[in-house]
Parts: sequence; structure tokens; C-alpha cells
Amino acid sequence: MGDREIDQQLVERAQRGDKKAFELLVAKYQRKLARLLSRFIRDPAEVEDVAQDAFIKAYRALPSFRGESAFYTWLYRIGINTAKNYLVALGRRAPTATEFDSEDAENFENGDQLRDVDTPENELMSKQIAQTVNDTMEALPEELRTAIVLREIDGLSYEEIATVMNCPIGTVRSRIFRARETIAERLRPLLQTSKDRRW
Amino acid sequence: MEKISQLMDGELAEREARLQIRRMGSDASLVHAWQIYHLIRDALRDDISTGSDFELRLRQRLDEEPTVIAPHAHVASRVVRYSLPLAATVAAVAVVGWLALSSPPQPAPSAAASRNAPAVAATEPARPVLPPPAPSGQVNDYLLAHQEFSPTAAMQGVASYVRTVSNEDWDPAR
Repeated sequence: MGDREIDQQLVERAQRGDKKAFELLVAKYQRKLARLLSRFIRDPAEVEDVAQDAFIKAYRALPSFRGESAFYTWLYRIGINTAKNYLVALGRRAPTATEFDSEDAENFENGDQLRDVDTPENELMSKQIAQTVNDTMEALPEELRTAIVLREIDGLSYEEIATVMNCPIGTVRSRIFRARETIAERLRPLLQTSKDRRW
Repeated sequence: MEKISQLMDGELAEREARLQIRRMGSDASLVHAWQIYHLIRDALRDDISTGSDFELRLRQRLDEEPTVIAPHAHVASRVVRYSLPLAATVAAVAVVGWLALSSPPQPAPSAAASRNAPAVAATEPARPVLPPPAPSGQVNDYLLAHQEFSPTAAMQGVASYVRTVSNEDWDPAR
């Protein structure tokens, strides 16, 4: 089942009243949406507020989502409109239609690196997360590091990775999982320091 | 957890994917894996951006929202897409059939009519039905001369040689 179908499954569950399913979509897209919004809004705290509003609007509009476009495309459009309205309400220049058009949501995967959207008190946490991930990646066994880089950075499928690494697909599956779990183990203590966070 | 890893990579078969998504609704450890694996993915792609309490704050706001209920929204759209054309077709067939069956019946000779005929004849004086005026012999010659222009002339083979138009003086006595 592909990415779009998984999102559709989660959307349909949310449409039937399952808020947890929508939270899984939030977990998946919050940072991508924030990166998109940071192109229009400079202040990191405002980006986060607008992203929150966009998710709430998306949740309210779920009954009207029919799956004719990918969920993330639909979400990004809501995000852009929310940002536009936000800027107009503040009397600031909103992005033009041309800018919207040129910034097709489909192409945001390869956008520039996002500035830190964290508020100052959260900035340290973000840097620690990034540092921990990078350090753990460096320490991973070569075969695990290669597998997860090919998957997460290069976007290869398991079958393609198996071809590149000359090993069975089952081995690829196991290596990627082990790499993720190794990094997750390092991250968990860090994330649990955040009060009330349900990690 | 390995299934969640596969799920987020789009590497699970549909049935298994549905099962894992359903399990996440009741197993917090699976949700945790989903969250942290996506965090790792975004970190590797330089997408670390939101505050660490982003999800918590959003969850609190979602808790205040009335629960969205749009049952079978996707299924309904599919039903509409396929059932409306089918219903239109059935309706069209029904209308045509109804019109055909409800049109006035063509008068046709029947046994009952044949039986009634003598009675009518007994009560009314016989009125011979006159045939149309018979064409004259000149018309017959004209038709024969122009037979090749009749529609049958377009037929292949011997059809064009078949006499298709003729006229004889009508004699009721014969």
C-alpha cells in the first residue's frame, strides 16, 4: 500500500470519528507543513501558530475531503490559504497567486532547508534531536547506515535497495528497521524530558 | 514495530497495512513508533522545525473540537459515481418500454372480429369498398419504361431484371 493509500486510510478513519488517525497524519506532516509555511511567514512562532490553525481547519473540513487529490496536497493548500489570510489580517503582504502556483505542493519535498521554527525555549531541543540523529547515524554499522540513507535520503524502494546492496528484500527490511530502532533508542530519553509529551 | 517501519515506507500489502493502521488505534507503542520514525525521517531530511510541544498543543485543540463524523464519505462518492449512470440507464429503458407497451394497439384481424362480421353485415346493407382508381394502360407503360430507376434496380444480380411494378385493371368479378 503506497503513501497516498495509507493517508487515505487514515483520513477515512478520521472521517468516521477517529481523532487518533488524524493525529497520525499530524505526526507525519507537521514538519513538512511548517517548512512550507516558513516560505511565507518569517517569524518561527507565527509559523507554528499558522500550522496549528491549518491542521484544525483541515480537521474541520475532513467531511468535504473526497480523496480526489492526495491528502498532503489538500493539506498544503489549506496551509497556504491559512497563511495568506493570516498575513492579510495583519496588513502584511500576502503571497501572490503566482507564488502559490509556482510553489506547487507536490514539489515541496525538495525545498530548501527550513529555518528553525522553534521558539527560543524549544530551539535547544530541536538541535539536540538533530545532533542525536546525526551522531547515531555516524555510529551505525555500515550496512544499516547505507540502507536507511538509500531509503530516507534517496527515496529508493526496498526492491531497489536490495538491488543496490545485492541482498534479499527481507534483509533490507530488517536493516532499515534496525537502523530506525537504534536511532529511536537514542532519541527516547531526550524526548521524554519534554513535560507531558506522549512519546 | 517492524511492520510500522514497513508501513511508513509503503512496503506493506494492502490487507496488512489496514491491519496495522487499525492496530495503531489501540496500541500506543505502535503510535509511538510511527511518531518517532517520522521524526527521524524528517531529521534526516533537515525537516526539524516545529516545537517539541507542537503535537501536544494541537491534540489539546483537537480535543475541544467536535468529533468529525462523515461516515462512508469516500464510499458514498464511489456509489454515486457508479450507481447514477446505472440508474439513468435503467430509467431510460423503463420509459422506452412503457411508451412502447402503452401505445394504442394496431387494428388486426382476429377470430372474434371475423365472427362478428356476419352480424354486422346482417344489420347493415353491404357497402362494397371501392379500390383506388385503376391506373390506365398508359401509366403501366410508363412504369415499365422507368422500371430501371425503381429502388430494386440497385439490387445485385438478377433483381434488376425482375418485374417489380405492374398494373392490371382491377376486376371485382375475377
